[in-house]
Amino acid sequence: MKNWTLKGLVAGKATTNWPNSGDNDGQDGVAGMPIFDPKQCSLGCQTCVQVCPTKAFSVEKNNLDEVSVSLDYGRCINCQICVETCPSEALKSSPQRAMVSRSKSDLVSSDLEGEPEVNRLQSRISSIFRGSLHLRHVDAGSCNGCESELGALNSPFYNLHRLGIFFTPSPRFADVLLVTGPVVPQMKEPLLRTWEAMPRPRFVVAAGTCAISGAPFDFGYSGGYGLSDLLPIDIFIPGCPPTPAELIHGLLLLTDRIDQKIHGGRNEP
Amino acid sequence: MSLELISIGAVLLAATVVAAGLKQSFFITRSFFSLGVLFLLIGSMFALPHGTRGVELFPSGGLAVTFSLDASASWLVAWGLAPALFAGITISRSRISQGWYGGAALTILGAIGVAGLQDGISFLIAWEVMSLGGAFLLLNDRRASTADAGQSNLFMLSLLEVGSVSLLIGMLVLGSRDPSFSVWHGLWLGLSPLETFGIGVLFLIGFGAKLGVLPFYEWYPSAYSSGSGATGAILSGVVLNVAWYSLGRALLHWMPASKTPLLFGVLVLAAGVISAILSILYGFQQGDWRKLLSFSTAENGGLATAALGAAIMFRVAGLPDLSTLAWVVGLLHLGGHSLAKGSLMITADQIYETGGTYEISQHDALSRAPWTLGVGAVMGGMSLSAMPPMAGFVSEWFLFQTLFQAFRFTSSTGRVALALAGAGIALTAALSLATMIKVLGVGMLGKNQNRTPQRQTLPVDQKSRSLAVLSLGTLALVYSVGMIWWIRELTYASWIGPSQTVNHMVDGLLLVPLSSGFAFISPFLLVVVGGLLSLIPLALIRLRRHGINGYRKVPIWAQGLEKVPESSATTALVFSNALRQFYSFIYRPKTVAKSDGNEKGYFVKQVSFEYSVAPIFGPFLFSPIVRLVRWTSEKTSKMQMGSMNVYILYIGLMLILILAIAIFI
Amino acid sequence: MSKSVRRYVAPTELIDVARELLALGCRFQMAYHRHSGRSLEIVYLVDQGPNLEFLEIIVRSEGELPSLSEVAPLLSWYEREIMDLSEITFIGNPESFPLVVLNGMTLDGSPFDPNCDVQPLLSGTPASPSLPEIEASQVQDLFWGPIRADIVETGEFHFAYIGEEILHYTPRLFYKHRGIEHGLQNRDPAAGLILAERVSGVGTISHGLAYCLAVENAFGFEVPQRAQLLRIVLAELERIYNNLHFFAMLAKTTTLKVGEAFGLLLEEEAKQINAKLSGHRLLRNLLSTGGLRRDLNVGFLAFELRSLKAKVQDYLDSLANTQSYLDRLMETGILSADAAFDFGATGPIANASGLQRDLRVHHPYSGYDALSMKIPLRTKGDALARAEVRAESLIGAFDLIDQAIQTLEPGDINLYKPIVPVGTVDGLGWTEGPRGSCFYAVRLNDGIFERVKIKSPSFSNWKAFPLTVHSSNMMDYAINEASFGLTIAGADR
Repeated sequence: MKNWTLKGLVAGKATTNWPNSGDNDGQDGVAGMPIFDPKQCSLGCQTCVQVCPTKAFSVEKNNLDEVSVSLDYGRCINCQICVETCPSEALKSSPQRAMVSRSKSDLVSSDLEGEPEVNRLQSRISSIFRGSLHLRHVDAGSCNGCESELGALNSPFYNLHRLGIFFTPSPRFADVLLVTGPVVPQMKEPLLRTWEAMPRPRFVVAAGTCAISGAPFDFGYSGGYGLSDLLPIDIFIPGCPPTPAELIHGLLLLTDRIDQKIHGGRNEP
Repeated sequence: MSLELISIGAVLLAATVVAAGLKQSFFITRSFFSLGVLFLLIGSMFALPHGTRGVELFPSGGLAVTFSLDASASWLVAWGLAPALFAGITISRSRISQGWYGGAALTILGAIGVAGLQDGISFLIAWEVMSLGGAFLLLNDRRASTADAGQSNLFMLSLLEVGSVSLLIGMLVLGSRDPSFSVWHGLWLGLSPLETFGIGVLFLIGFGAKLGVLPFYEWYPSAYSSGSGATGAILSGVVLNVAWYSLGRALLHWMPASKTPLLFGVLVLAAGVISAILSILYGFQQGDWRKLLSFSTAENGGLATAALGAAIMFRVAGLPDLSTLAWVVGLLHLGGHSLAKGSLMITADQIYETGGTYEISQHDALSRAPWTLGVGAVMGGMSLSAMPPMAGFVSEWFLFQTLFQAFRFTSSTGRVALALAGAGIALTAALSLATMIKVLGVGMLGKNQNRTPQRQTLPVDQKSRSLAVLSLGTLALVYSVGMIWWIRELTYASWIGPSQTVNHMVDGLLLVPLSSGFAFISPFLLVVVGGLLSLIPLALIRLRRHGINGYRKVPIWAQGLEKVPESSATTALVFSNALRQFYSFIYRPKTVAKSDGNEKGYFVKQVSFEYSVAPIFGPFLFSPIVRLVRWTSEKTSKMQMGSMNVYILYIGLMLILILAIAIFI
Repeated sequence: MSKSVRRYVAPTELIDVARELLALGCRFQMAYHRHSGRSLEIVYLVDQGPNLEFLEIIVRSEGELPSLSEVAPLLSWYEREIMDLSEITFIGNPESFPLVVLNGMTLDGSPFDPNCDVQPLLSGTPASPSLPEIEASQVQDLFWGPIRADIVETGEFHFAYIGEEILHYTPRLFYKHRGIEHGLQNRDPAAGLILAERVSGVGTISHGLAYCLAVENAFGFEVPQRAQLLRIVLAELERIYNNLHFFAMLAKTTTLKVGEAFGLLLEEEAKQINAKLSGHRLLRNLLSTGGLRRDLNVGFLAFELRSLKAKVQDYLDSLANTQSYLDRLMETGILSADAAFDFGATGPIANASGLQRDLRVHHPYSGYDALSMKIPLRTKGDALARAEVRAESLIGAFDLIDQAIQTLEPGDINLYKPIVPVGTVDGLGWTEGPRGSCFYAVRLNDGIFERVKIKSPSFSNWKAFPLTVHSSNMMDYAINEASFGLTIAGADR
């Protein structure tokens, strides 16, 4: 007969101190979202635009007929193909950096300057939930990758509860609707009904690239196009799937416990 | 004054019987019946606290037939008639024939006779009239098919007849020389304890058949379910009450304490407790309002019988004050039970009128009925499950307090018996709470989602029926809240104890078991203080409603489905299934689920499901007897008719026989 | 790896042929429809036995075909899916109501029909499911889902029950149907791979590798030795973290809280090893048709895995010594060998029910034939048997990685300038993932997909699972479900 309690006590603490102190976020070796520096692009090269399987890159012409390429992280599934094919140094694989944002515009690379915009009222309301945040997760057609990583948050290594964040069974008790998956047609109504059942104030977190834009499942008779047109997203967490560290980043950003680092698609403002 | 009122009532009821026999209009029979019951009710109330004086009926005849209601009988008749009055007024005329009123009148006349007649012969006649009236009542209810009604009626009557024969023997042994009850105590003193025990058992069987003491409660469900709730209100009201009264009179008044073995008291106590447990266990499993309520009636009969057993034991032990306490507890219990059960029985009729079935299932009965129904039924249910501050709470609390006096016994037999009885009754109380939650929760709630939400104007009879339910439920509350005053009406309700006993059950606004140092309750204070405290949440709700944020109403979250499917409502079986498994050694449950897959059992298109619980005495006691009778009847097949008429003929012969005995002995 | 054998059968002979094949010990694997020019054909994939080529039974259809569900029950879901997505009707299918397209939803066209110019769309609101009729007013229905408590996938489970006893159980999946097979149409294999890797998030390698093998089979590519062995390493790493998750869930449902925590921690450690090796915690973005996208440095792996294996072994021993855990697994959710065969149960579920099947041994791919392994087998078919089979295959995965690393030699990891054949080519690829067999059948024309059929292991096991739930106890349901280790995304696609 095994004494599990004793075994657990002997094993000691397995939880990382991150994000409170230290930097062991458990993501050693993880290839993060590609870093895009359009200034390094070779002239006229649009390899990334062609190879990207989710059409995350777009070409724009300004009024001077200058061509510029921008990257929408809301469509990026972090497949690294662009990094591998980029002939110049414009696209590089980053070490793991959370590309979490409050607004969709900050997910698109651009030459915006200054600080990311913050809705003061919104962040004051959400900062009330610093100490205790309850999430209702809805799988709106995900591949189970996001569920796997969300499940990892409950493992002793991350131990999400220590941050005062909990998953709750009923939307009635939830502050946050955490959506994964591209919102396929058959999941649209169930998702909206769950949102409807939540008390105010309530927030939406789109976890995973497909929850933001549907990519790479935005096709065909049963595709999904993300939450953007359905619900007011408060936090965007791109990634395929976002790592546990990125998910924690997103949830901390929601409650104003950390500052947004992403601005104009760049990680350092 | 009270005797006059009672005689007017009796005459009116007799007129009802005649009017029903002549097939007079509903209006006439109903008016006669209601007025008659009302007069009887008022008359018996006025008889308190002393009881009526004796009056000689047929003074010119050869028979000395005396009628008088003592205090106990008046109390039981008065409360027992209240549901009968409401039942008579509100029963739906489309469901019955005039004969129902005839049967009801006959039943109540018989019951009054049983309670008040003071000699063996007329008592037995009244007893048979009461049984016969009950049979008429059930037969004139048009709810069940005639074949079913006939069969369950025959089962009821045959069991009651076992009781009648037992009574007849007991009374013949005692009263063969002088049928007048007044001398029976003296006559009994001449018998040995063993004979005393025997006669006591005969009476226990005789009256127990009607009271539903084991094994006789098994006639209850099929008989009650062949009639309407209104019929049930009469059967579990005044009829049950006078049966218990008669048993008590026989065992506490006629039976001499000096000759009574303590074990006989233990036997009555055990019979009461075990019947209570078994009947509520079976009641909990029922899926039909009337069956469930009928088992609950048997349970309450069992509780009262247990109180009687305790009274006998205390009397034998030379503790007359406690004996009186126990007897009064029985009186309180049955009085309150009549009111509460009446309210639920009439609720059952209302459920039937709105939903078309007596089945306990969620079909939004509550939302379709006037608010009065829900409030009344909840009060009735609370009382039957002994929830404070209702009537049932007061009497069951007193019952426990009585049993807790076991330490006053010197013998360990008495102590152990009372302690065990206390445990048994605690189980009963828990089960009856579950039963009432089941019948009210499953039977009245639920939302029929296919129904259009528009509110229709309710028919008048539904309104009045709901009002009757509310009245009876409220009476069950008033009964307990005012108990500190009403209880003094029972000062003389005892054959043995000193009359101060009842005074010792009240201490100011408190109810106490003879001494306030032991324990106390006060439904009166509870209602007053609780009522005041409830103003706080009510005020908060009111404030919130007018607050700035207001409400956002959203549909119930059905886990992403459009609505919670109707079929996910809790069913009666699901509610009670866990207990069905846990007590499977009693229930011997049967569950058969069949799926119609292909030959390997795959691709199921249909699942059929059957379940049952087996009665205890049916297969082991009654079935062998039935088989014996069948065997006999096969041998004498010429005489076997199997029709109701033959049975009524037989009853008639019985009556003539009893008369003949009376005249020639 | 060779091409499968084909046999064209007339609709009238179909049932007889199927019976004949079953009598010979063959087993149906899947069925799908594809448009071939103007006509429609149904392809039944048949496993003829260990080391024999797979057999494709092809039937040209004229709108109606006899159903094979009574002969081979596992085909029922495939037939229903085909009925939902095309114009074909299977006469005599015993469950002729929608599967992939839920009740209440409509699909206005046949998505796979190349002659259809308008893009069909799935629209509507899911309505009540079609359920077996229950003849008893006292039975209560429980609709659990589609959005259930905890971090779980979407799926609606219907129980007809009386308190504790479940009389009948019907899962309704496919809420999450994404139409990936359709999405792969008209893509080139390189772009399609990112979808294949995301059919089932925790089956990246099972699906991705089967996809690559199918395309390589169609194109006639020979993958370099080193890439083959590295693919085995990846596949077995996937088996490790998935099975650790399985044990964590089993500990959770048997209310072994500390056991659950240990399981989750071990799973997390395995995922961190994945990340260090491949740059992705779920092993994505590595496979390519023809080999791997980049070479891997496995130097550190042996050490890390040795340490993990010791912890895993200790964890499994601890579980096996916990009476309360064992008590709740024994006799729970028994799946007979017969039913497991009939409904196409696969992987650990089949192995626990007495069917000794493993594609790695019986139809070796990607160089598994060079490694030695044992197929775990139990005959009881209960939750404990499934747990024991998983435990053995979990430890076996460590051994396979050891063997692969030892035989690993430097070399190419990709083909040098492969030539994509012109014209129509067909290919079949399969893998034995942690949950069982995964098949990809592809047809390409000039290097572009015309049709891809995905058979995920959970699609098969979900079909068998309800048989173990009928007339079982509510208390055992969660344990039973955990012991099957199913994913919904894989089944829904």
